[in-house]
Amino acid sequence: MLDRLIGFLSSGENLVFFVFSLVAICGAIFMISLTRVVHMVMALALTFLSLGGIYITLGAEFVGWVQVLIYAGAITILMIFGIMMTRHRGEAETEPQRPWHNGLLLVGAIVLFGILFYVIQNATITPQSAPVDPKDNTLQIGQLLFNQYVIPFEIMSVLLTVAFIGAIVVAKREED
Amino acid sequence: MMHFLEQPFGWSNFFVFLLLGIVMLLIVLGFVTYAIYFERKVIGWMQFRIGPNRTGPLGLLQSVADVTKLLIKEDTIPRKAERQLFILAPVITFIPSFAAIAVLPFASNLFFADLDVGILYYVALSGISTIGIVLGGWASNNKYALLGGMRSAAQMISYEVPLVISVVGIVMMTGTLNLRLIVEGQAGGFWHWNFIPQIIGFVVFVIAGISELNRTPFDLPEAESELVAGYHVEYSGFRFAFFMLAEYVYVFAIASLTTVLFLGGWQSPLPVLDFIPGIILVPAQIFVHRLFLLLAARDAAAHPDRPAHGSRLAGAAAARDRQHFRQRDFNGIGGWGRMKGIMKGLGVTFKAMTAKKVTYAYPDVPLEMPDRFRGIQHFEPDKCIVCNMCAKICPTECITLTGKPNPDPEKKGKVIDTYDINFEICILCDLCTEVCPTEAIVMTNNFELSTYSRDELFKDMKWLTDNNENVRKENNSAAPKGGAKANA
Ligand code: SF4
Ligand code: SF4
Repeated sequence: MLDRLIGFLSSGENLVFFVFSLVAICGAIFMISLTRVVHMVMALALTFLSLGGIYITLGAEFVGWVQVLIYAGAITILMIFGIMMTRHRGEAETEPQRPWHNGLLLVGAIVLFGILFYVIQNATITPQSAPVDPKDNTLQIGQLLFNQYVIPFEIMSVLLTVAFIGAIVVAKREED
Repeated sequence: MMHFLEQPFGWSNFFVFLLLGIVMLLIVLGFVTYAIYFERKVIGWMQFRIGPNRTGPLGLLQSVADVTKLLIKEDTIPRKAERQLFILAPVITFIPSFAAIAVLPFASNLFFADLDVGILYYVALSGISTIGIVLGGWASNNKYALLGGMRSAAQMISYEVPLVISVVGIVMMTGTLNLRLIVEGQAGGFWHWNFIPQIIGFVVFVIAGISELNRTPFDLPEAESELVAGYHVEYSGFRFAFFMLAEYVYVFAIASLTTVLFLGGWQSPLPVLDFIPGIILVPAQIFVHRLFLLLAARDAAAHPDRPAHGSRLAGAAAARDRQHFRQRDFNGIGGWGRMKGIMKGLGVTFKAMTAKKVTYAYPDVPLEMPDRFRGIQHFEPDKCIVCNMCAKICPTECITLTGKPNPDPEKKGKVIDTYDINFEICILCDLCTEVCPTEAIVMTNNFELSTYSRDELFKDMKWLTDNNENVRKENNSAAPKGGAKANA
C-alpha cells in the first residue's frame, strides 16, 4: 500500500499534480473559513487556477486554459459583486460556540479520509481503451463534439439560450 | 527551439530555458524603457513641446533615470489598506503579463513554447491580470482606486469576448489555435496575410486590444482626469512600477499578437523580400503596431496637463475626443464610431507633430524676455550720487549703501563706497530704478538667480556692476523720459 504511495511521489508529474491538488484543497478550505468576501474570492481563484493546472498536467490543455479563461473572468465578476453587494464594516459576527462540534467534525473527516484512501488504493483502474493523444486535443474535442456528441451539444446550446432569454425576461420584469 | 522543446525535461534544459527567459525579460525591459521614452517624445511633439531631452543624449536615459528613481523611492502602504493583498496585487498583475509572452513566436525557429492552444493561453493569462487590478483597487481602501478597479473589471468583461471572437475567423481558416502554425499559414506575400480576409476581425481585434491595454480612449480604469490615477492611485515606488511595467509588457504582447495573427508574423510581405530574416521582420512589425497603438491611443487624448502655449488646441481636441469616446462607450455604440475618433485623434497628432515647437530648450537656448521685463539690477557706481533715495523707497529694505567723501578734493559731495542688494527679499518691484535721479541703478532682462546657498543671494556692488548684460533699454539712457521723470 505504501510502496504505491512512494512510487506515486517519485515521478515529477505526480509531484506537480500533488502540489496543485494541495493548493486547490487549501484554497477551498480558506474559501470557507475566511470572513471577508474579497479574501474568499481570492481563495476561490486559487482553487480554480490550480484545477486548471491539474487539467494541464493531465494533458488536457484546452480544458485547462479554458478553465483559467472562464474562471478568471468569473472571479473578477464575483469580486465586483462581493464588493458591491456586501457590507464591509461590522463583519465580525461571532458564531455561537459549540465545542463538541469540532471533535465530531474531526472524527468524521478522519473516517471519510480513511474510507476514500482505502477505496482508491484498492481500486483497479483499467487504462482507457483508446488512449487520448495529448497532441492537439482541441482538434479531438472538436471532432468528438461535432460528430459523436453533436446532439447533447446542441441540446446544451438550446438550454443555454433558454437560460439567457430567461435571465433577460427576469431582469426586464424587475425594471418595470 | 523545437529540439529543446522535444527533449525530455532535465536540468540542462531547465537552465537553457531559464537563461532564455532572463534574456527575454531583459529585452522586454529594454523595450518598455524606450517605449516610455518614445511615448513621451510623441506626446511632446503633438503638444508642441520637445519632450525629454536632458538626461543623456537626446534624453535617451530619461526612462532609465525614472525607473531608478521608482526603484529607490520610499515604498508607502496606506495604514488602512489591506496590507497583504495590497502587496500581492502588482505581482498578480505583472506575472501573467510576462508569462503571456512565452507563446509568442518571433521567428520560424525562435519561440519559447509551442502550445496548441496559444491564443487561449494568452487571453486566459490577460484575464488573470485584471484580477490583480481589481484587487489592487480594492486593497488600497480608496474610493478612486476602487472605482478604477471596478471599471477595469467591467471593461474586461465587455471587451474580452470581442477579442476572442475576432480571432475565431482566423482559427477556423487555419484550423489551429497554435500561433506558430497560424503564421505558417500566412506564407507567400502580404495578400495571404489574415488581415485581408479577416478585415472585420482585424478592426475588432485592434479596438478590443486597445481596450485590453487600458489605453485611451479606453483608459477608464486610470482616467487621470476624473479618478486621479484609478486603481494605482495609492501605489508608489516599485509597486507602481510593476503596474506600469505590466501595462507596457501588454503593449508589447498585443502588438506582437496582432503581428502574428493578422500580419503574417515573420513571413515577408513580398516574395522578393524573402531574404530578409524573419527575426528582423517581426520586431519591425511590432514597432509599427506599437507606433499605431501609441499614436492612436494614448496620444489621441494625450494628457493636456502641461499646457504650453500651443498645446491648448491639441489638448482641447483631445479632451473633446476623449469625451466623445466615453459617451460612445456608455451608450454602447459600436466600433466604427471609435475608429473614426481614433482616426481624428491621429490627424491631430500628425498635424501637431510637424508644427513648429513653441517650447524652449531653456538653458541651451536662452529665453527672450520682453523689453519691459523687470530683472536683476545693474548698478553703475560712477553715476551714483549717494542720495539714498533707492534705499529709502525700497519696500523691502533690501538695499544697503554707504558713501565716502569724494577722493577728488576739488569736488563736493560723496561717491558710493558699498552698495548691496539682498536678493533674498528683493521683489524686483522696480521702485529703486524709478526713483534714482541719475539712472545709476537700472534693471536688466536677466533673471537667473538660483544658487545653492542663501548667502550667495546677497549681491555686492561689484557683482551688480558686472551684471551689465541685457540692460533694459528705456532705463539705459540718462535722458529722462515719462511723466514724473520729465520734471526731474
Ligand atoms: S527692486 Fe524694489 S525691492 Fe528690489 S531693491 Fe529695488 S526697490 Fe528694493
Ligand atoms: S538712488 Fe541712485 S543715485 Fe541715489 S543712492 Fe541710489 S543708486 Fe545712488
